[in-house]
Amino acid sequence: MPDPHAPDADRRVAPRDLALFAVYCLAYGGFMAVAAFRLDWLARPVVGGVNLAVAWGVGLIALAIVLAAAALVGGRGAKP
Amino acid sequence: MIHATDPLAVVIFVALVAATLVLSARLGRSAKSAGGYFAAHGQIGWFVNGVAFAGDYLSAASFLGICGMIAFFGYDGFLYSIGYLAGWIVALFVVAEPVKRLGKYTFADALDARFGSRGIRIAAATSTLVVSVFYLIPQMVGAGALVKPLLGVPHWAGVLMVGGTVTFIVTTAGMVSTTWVQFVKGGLLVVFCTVLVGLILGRGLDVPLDAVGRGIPGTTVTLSVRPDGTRLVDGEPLAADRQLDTELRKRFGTGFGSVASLPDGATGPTGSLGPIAFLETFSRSEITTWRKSDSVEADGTKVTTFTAVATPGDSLLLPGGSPTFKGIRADETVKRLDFLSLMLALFLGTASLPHILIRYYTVPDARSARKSTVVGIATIGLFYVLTLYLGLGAMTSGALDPTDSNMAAPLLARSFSPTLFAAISAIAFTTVLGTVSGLLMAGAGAVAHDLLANAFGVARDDRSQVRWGRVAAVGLGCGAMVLGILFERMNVTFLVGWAFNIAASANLPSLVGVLFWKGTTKAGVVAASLVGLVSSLAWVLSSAETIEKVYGFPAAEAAELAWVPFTQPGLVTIPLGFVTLGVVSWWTRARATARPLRAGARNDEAMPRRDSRVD
Repeated sequence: MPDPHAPDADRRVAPRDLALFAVYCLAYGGFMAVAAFRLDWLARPVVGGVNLAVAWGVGLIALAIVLAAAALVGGRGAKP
Repeated sequence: MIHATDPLAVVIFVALVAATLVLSARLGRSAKSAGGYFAAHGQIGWFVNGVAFAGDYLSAASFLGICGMIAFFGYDGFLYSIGYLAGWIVALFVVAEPVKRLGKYTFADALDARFGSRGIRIAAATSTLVVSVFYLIPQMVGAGALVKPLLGVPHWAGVLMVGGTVTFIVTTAGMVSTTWVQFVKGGLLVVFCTVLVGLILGRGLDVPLDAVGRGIPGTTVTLSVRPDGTRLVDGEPLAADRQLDTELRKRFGTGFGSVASLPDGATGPTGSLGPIAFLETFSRSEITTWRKSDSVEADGTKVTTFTAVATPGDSLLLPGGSPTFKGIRADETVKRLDFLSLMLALFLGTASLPHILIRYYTVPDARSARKSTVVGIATIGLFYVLTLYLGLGAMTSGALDPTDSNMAAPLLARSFSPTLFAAISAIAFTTVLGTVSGLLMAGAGAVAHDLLANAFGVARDDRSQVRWGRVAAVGLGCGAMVLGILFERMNVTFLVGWAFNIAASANLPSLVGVLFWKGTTKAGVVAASLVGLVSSLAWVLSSAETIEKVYGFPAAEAAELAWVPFTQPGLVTIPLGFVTLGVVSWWTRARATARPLRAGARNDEAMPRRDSRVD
């Protein structure tokens, strides 16, 4: 059975992870806020004629993959 | 609607089922102990586990529901893709490693790690079962929708076939076979969907020449269903074995869903398009969408009228086109809150889903947990980008069944070739198998390990837990089949949204408190779990959407009867869970600190303890 009295370090989130998490929260929260209150902004073409809604949405998915990859480099999970 | 049976589809389907059953029977030998049955001995490699995450997570709602929603309404379906993936960031950065370190078989293991509390076990197991049931319903509905066109059998028979197969998988080899089914399914789904998107881009966009395909505004098609089941299209009888889109193709040369006009008045096919060019061309085209209206005649005949509307492509690539999200295009604060509430629940719900959390116990260590999450995010992220093209491809494929949005992706595949339809349908079938098996495992663990062994001390030894786990899996499987038949007409994506709301409300506050706040007490955990569970459940069941779609009231009456201002509870009930955790923990700690301890007495609230937990 895992130790219920595990050291706090086992439960703590590394500051670097928190920073990456905060970056994503800002990107996701920003998208939700714009979609809810400034929908017209999302209609603007931004990349190759594709509108901001599609670009931001696909960008959020891409950002998640990039942050996940970054989490493996030098993060706590990288240590044996 | 019954679709024509494809012999090749049947062959692939049967081969896939047979392979799955053989695999489960063979792996069953390695699942005799509780560790093997509930956690595959914790020896699954991180890459396999990561792809299995995708197989577990990419449910019928993801594949059938999102593709169908995009095909019918445009961008709104993609909002689910964005939200579903975003939730994995919470899982990766907040819960993955701590949950792996603290737990063993179930979500409750991690939640109860500091306290050894029967109350926490019962609360966590209850929320696991409720969330799993809400998640199971759309999977089983999707199963019936899939097998129906594949084998030409009615919905209930499809549900029974899928339910029976999954129950066999879970009862024979537990998490071992579940993992491999999910791995194979996750891999196949992403590979074949990539192929399908390649074909969509290769085909490009084209304007059909007939009136229906062009979507001349006002063109109508009427489907009538008489009380005796006879169907008529525009007043003419429709053969029982013929589907509506096939009939339309016969009459007009195309089915539902097509391009009405291309940019700059182009009339011929665009030829192959790159991923960005496809979206750009789509946004500058006009697309034929079909507005649906229902009525009932005096003799009981149900009449559905589909009216062609030429819709600007750029409008379809903006949020707010579907009934679910249309409020954000109107100036209604309540509708916007509903939208924000759902997106919040999708973001926070993933890391609270019991059937996802238990997959962290199948890898050897915390490092593997993180690495497998990263593989899962990459696999799932790629798939969700593909859903945008699959949905828009289906919308312009001329192959939509207007009566069944869940069939958009398989029918899109059929617009390319019957073989691809067979392959995609069979893979979609494994999609249901993978997700349902994970849900049954989570439910079986909650019943056998949390309730019977740890809360009530019934199945305390290793073999008993496995035996009761199997019994629970059979019971849950049977329940899922019944619910899958009862909820046939429900939209699958909508129900999964409920599951995310309930999971985030009931599980996340407690989990975050246990993992990261020293002041958390067991009373706080129990209270937060129960308040989050009950409040989100009550909210969902008393919302206008439920009153209309589940209880069957007319929309206007449902709006009046609703007790809550909007459908999605997360915006209120997730913070409520956190507040409950904080207030009850603070109060119980304050009481414990104030109460003088007798010599030798233990203070349950102030001091975490380990007592009668069964490993």
